[in-house]
Amino acid sequence: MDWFFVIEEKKHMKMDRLEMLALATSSAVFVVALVYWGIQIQGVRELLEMAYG
Amino acid sequence: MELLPFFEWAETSLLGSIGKTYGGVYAIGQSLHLMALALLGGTVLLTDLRLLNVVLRDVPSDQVIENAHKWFKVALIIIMATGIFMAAAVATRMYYNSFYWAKMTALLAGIVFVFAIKRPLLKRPHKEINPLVLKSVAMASLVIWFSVAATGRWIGFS
Repeated sequence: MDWFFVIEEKKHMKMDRLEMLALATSSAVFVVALVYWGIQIQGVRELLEMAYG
Repeated sequence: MELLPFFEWAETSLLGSIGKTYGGVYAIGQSLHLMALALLGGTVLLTDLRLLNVVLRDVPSDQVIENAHKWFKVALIIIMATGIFMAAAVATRMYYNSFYWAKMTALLAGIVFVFAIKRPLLKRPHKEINPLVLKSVAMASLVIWFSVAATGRWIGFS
């Protein structure tokens, strides 16, 4: 878990424009992936329920 | 813009005809595609897990990322060349497959993410980059390339 504590120590480092952009893009990727894979998993679950009850 | 005529043309083109007619040539293309996928996956795992401090912790991350990026580019070129060849043989079927479009979207997102965000950021000395940003970029990269691989495999089962 030491990588986590490194984040804790340095999270107050000032971020420039590229770093902000990278953080914003990464966050957008997480949200889109969560929604997309959530919908796909739900679709598979519904299909399995229809097939096997 | 209607893309179906392009896909129909691709299937009847020389490339599409070779892929459909000669099973051996298609198999070689597919093998190269899979090997390049393994190489690309390897470089992605290596760089992103290094940024997350999971692997190769005794090697500077700048050095790992710099060396792996060359092989990432090689793998990407082979994947795209063999991918076009493989898709041409079954282009019309691909056009109607939603996972094909999901894979292409994820692949495009991955390429843009690497060359517009990740690469310019990681050209800097990593010690100067906020660790939260480094970790977020590594996680996002893993998510994107996982999505490329998963939707790509899903094509075969849909």
